[in-house]
Amino acid sequence: MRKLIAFLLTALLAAAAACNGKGGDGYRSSGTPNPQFKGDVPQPPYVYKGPTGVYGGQLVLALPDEIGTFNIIRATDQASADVTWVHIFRCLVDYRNGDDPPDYDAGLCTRWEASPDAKQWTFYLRKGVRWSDGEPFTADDVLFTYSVVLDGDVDTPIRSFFSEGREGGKEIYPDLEKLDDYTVRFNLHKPNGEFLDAMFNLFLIPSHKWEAAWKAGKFTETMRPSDDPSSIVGLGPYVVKEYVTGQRVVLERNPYYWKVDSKGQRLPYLDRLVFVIAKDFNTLQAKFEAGELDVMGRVRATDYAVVKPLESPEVKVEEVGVSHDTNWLILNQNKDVNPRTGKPHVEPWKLRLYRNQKFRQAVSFAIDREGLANTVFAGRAVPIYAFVSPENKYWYSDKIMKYPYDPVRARQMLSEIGLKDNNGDGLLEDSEGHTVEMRINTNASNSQRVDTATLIAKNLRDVGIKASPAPIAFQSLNEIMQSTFDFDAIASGWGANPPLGPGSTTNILLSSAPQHSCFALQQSPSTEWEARIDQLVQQITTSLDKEDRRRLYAEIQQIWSEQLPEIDLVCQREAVAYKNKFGNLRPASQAPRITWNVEEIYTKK
Amino acid sequence: MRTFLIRRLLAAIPLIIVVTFITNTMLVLSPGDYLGDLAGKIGITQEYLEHLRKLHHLDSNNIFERYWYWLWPALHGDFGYSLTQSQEVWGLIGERVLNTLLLTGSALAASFGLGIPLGMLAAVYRNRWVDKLCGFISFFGLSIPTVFFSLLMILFATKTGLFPPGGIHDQVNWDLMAPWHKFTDSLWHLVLPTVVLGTIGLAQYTRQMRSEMIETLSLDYIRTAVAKGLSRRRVLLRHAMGNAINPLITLFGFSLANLLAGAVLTEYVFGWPGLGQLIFGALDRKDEPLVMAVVVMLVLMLLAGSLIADLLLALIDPRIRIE
Repeated sequence: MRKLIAFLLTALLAAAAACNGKGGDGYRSSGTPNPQFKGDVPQPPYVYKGPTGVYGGQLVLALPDEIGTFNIIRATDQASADVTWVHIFRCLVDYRNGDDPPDYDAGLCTRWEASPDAKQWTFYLRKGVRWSDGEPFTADDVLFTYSVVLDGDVDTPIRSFFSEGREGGKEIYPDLEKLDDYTVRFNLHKPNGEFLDAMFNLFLIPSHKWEAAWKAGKFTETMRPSDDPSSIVGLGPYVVKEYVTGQRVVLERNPYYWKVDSKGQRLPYLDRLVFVIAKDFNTLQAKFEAGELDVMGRVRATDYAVVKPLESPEVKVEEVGVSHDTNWLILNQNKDVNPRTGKPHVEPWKLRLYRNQKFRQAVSFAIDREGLANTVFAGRAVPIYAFVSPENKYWYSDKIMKYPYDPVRARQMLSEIGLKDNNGDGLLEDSEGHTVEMRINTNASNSQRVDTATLIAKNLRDVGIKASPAPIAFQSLNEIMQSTFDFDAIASGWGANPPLGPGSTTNILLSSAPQHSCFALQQSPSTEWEARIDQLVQQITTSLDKEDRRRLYAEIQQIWSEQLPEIDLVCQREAVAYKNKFGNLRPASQAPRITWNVEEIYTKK
Repeated sequence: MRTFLIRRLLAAIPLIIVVTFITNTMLVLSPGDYLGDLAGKIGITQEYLEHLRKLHHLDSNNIFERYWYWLWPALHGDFGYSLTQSQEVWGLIGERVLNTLLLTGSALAASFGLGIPLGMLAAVYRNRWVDKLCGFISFFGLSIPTVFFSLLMILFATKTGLFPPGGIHDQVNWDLMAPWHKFTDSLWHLVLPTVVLGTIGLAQYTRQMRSEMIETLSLDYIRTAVAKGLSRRRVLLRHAMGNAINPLITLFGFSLANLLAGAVLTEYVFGWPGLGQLIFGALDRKDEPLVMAVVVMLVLMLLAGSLIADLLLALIDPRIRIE
C-alpha cells in the first residue's frame, strides 16, 4: 500500500512536470476573433489607417499591485489606472502618445470645435457607438459622467482638471449643455486653449448603468473589484473577464468596439489582455525571462544592465527616450505656522536661508548631477534644471539657467550671503552662529531616492552645509509634504501622465496649488516671481495661439530655473522589453508606454 | 474531553485580545496612515482627507480609543472594510486562507514524511554516511534564511525552466485549461515553495527524530525485544518508532508558528496569493482593518494547530489523557 502511494505521488509529479514543461505559449493567433463581434459599426466609422493585422492571440502584461477599484472616476492607485484606462474606458478624444509628435485624435467624437475666444468647446459624438453591454452611447452619457465628476460627494481626482479657479468662495467649473442627442458643448467661464487636456481625463461611464446608484448616493459602491465583471461597462476595446485578487486580471474583447481598420475588419485584433500581478522587479524579471510575460513596460535605469542581455531574436529591449518623470530636491519656503503645534513650519533662521534665491542657487551648483546620474542611475539619466523633461520636445525650453557642478562657485555664493566657517570645523555658520544644517527627507522604501538623498547630502557637506539624509515611510513623506509642511528639504520626484502640455503642470506651478511643494496652498503669492508665474499660467490658459503658449511656457521655465522652487536634478532614460511576436507594438516614452494603441496591436503569424 | 476543549477556548480569548491590542498599538503609534498614499494624488483635497480621517477614526492617537473602535464592531462580527481595496476584509481573506493552508499543509506533509524516516535512518546508521548526510541537511535547513533560499529557488526555476518562477498556478491560460491540466499545473507550482518551507521543518524533525530514536534504542525494552528474537524491522517500526515519535507531535504544534511566519516571506517572494502576501501588502499600505483581520486569522490558525497537536498526542500516546 505504502509503495503504491509513493509510486502514485512520483508519477503525479512527473506527469505534472511533463505537462507543463512546455506550457506558456498556449494561446496563439487563430485568425478568427474570439469572442465574436456584435452589433453594427457606427456611421461614419472610425477607420484606423495603419498596417492591418490578424485576429487572435493575447498580450500578457505585469501589474505592480492589487487593484483598488474598476471605477475609473474614483481610481487613485496606479494599478487600477493601468488596467482601466484606454483598455476599458475611453474619453471623447483619444491621445496618440506614440505618434510624432503625440497629438489628439477624434475617437468617440467625429470632430470638435473651439469658438474663437476658446470659451465654447463643442463635441460631435460618433453616431451608432454602443457600450460594451450593447446599449447605445449618447450625449446623455457625457452629461451623466460630467455631473458625477462635479458631484462634491464623489471622491475623484478628475474634478480638479476642470476647475477654473475660485470665484465667490467656491470652485467654478465649465457648464455642459446638450445641443442634441449627439452634440455637447462645454461653456467655459474663461478662455482655455488647453481644454482638450482636461477632456482627456473625462473617462465616460454609462448613465443607464449607474445613474440610479449615483442618485441614491451609492456611487462609491459601484464597480468594485469583487463585483460581477459583466457590470463593468465601458467604451474601450476590452472588458473585464475575471479578477482574482493577488493574482491576475483578465480582459477580453469588447464585442461592440467601434473602430475598424482600412480593410474593414473590426478592432481590436488581440482576443485578450492579461495582467499578472508581479510586485517586485525580481518577480517581474523572472516571469519575463520564463516567458510568462510578454512585456516589461518599464525597465528602470538600474535594471537595464540585467535586462539588456536578454535580447534575442524573440526579445527586444528598446530605448524609448528620456522619461517625463522628474527628480528634484525642494527646500521648504513655507512662512506659516503649524496650527497644531503653534510653531513655524521652518525655524526662522533656516527659513531665511531657504527663501534666499542665492542660497538655493548655491545648493544647485553644489549638486553633482552627472555624478548622480552615473552612480544612482547607472549612467542612464540626463541632468535637468527646470521641471520639463528635454524629451518633451514641443514644450521644453533650453533658454534656462543651468547649474553645472561647481563646488567652488557654490562656496563663494554661500560666503556672499554671509555664511562663513568661523570655528574651523569645516561647516558654515550664519551670522547668529547657527551651523547651517539640513535634513533631507525622502521615501525610505525607494532605494533610488535614498541613494539620491545620500549623494546630495555628501555634495552639500563638501561645500560646508551639514546635510543629512533622513529616509521616512512613504505615507509620512506625503504627510509632511502635503499637510503638515514641517520639513527642511525633500528629495523626491513627479510622475508625469499624458497629455504633457502646460495644463498638466499647473498643480505644481501655481502658488495656490497643492503640489507647489516649496510653499503649497498659498492664499496669495509670497514672492514677485511666484506672482509672475501665476500670471503666466493664467495667460497660457487663456491664449489660443499655440506658439504664443509655447513662448509663455518657456518664460515660466526660465523663471523656475533661476528661482529654483524645485531644484530639479535628473530624468532617467526609459527602456521597455517585449517579445518580438507583436505587430503595431510601438512603445512610447510616456504612459501607457505599450498599450496606448492596444486595439491596433496583433500577433504576427 | 469537553472540559479540556472549553478550557482551551477560554484561554484563547485573552490571547487574542493581547495579540490584537499589541498589533493595533503598533499600527497606531507608527507614523503615517493609509491616507498618506492618497495625499500625494492630484485632486485629493485636504477637506476630503480630513473627512476620511474622521470617518475611519484615524484622527485620534489614543491607543485605547483606537483599539475600542476596532474591538467593538469586531465583537459583533464586523471586521470592517479594507481601506485600500474597498472590499469587506473577510472577502479578501477567505480565498487566501485556503491558499496558505495548501502551502503550509504540503510543507508539513513533506517535512514529516521525509523527516521521520531520515531521522530513523540516521539513528540506526549512526556516524555512517546516511547520518552525515542527514546532519548536513539539518544544518542547511536550520541555517539558510527563508528569503535567500526562496530567491535561490526562483533563480533555479528561471535558469533551468523546469519549474515556474512563482505563482500558485498558470496566470495566463488558467481559465482556458481542462480540469486535469489545472490539477497538474497546481502541483507543478507547489513544488518549489514546498521545498523551501518544508526544509525548515525537515531539519527540525530529522534532528529531533534522530536523538529520540537514539535514546529509545538504548532502552531496556528494546534490548528485550531484540533478545526475544523479534525482527529488526518490527523492533524499529513497531516498538521504537511509536515511542520516539511523541515529542514530534508536540513539536508540530510549535513549528506551526514557524511555518506560518516563514510562509509570510516565502509567499511574498513566490508571489503566492496567501495570507502572508496579503498582510505584507496591507502593512505596507497601513490598511489597518485588513492587518487586524489577518492577525486574528493567523492566531486562530495557530491555536487550531496546537489544539490538533494536543489531540493527536492523546490519540497516539495512551499515557496521556485529556481532562
